[in-house]
Amino acid sequence: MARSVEVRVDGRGRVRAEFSGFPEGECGEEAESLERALGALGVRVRVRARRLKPPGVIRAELGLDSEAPARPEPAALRRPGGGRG
Amino acid sequence: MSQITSYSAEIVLEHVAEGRPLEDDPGWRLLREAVEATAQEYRGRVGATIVDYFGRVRPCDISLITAAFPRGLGVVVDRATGRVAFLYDDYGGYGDVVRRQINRVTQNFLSLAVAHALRAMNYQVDVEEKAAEVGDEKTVVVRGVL
Repeated sequence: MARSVEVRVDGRGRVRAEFSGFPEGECGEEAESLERALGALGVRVRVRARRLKPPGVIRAELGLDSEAPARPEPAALRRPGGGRG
Repeated sequence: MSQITSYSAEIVLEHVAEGRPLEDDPGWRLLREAVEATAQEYRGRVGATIVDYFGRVRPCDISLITAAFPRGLGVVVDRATGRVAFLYDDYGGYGDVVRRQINRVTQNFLSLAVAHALRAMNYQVDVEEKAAEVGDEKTVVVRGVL
């Protein structure tokens, strides 16, 4: 999964940023970079809440979820002999 | 790790607080853009003054004049602190209109700032506006992909 951030700004000036696809440690740095970049543009932010996503979600985002079932091959490719039709 | 952070925000133009001219502040340019976008949305115009209930003219750094609030909503930047304040006289039942306009200017400004900040961090940015499920408030969603 690509590294991404989705920021929602509601009608009351509340901002919620969701970071996805970042490995351990890098996500907090990215959030701080965003806060600094916003500060340079005149937005002084105060963190109201910060929470990590559940481990299963993070593993899935990073493509580390080994428990996920492998995608089966299409039937045509599994046919014995490799012949068509 | 991936995380979700919630912020409250206030507008403080740091360059102005350091003594630089208002026009040189990148935040001011975004703020101006936000007021102009709001004026377009309300089919209003941008000015540099407001009037109070008694018709007295008050100067401000930028103002939003609309049919819904013809006295005008002013934006004033404190040159000593960089803090941004809204200047208006809502006497006579204009409270709700003014509150909605202030919220919209603030939301437009924050959305523009987030999009700018993410572009500066090399994200590919996409902005979408979503109508609220309840009420007339909108949510602006800024997505960035590295």
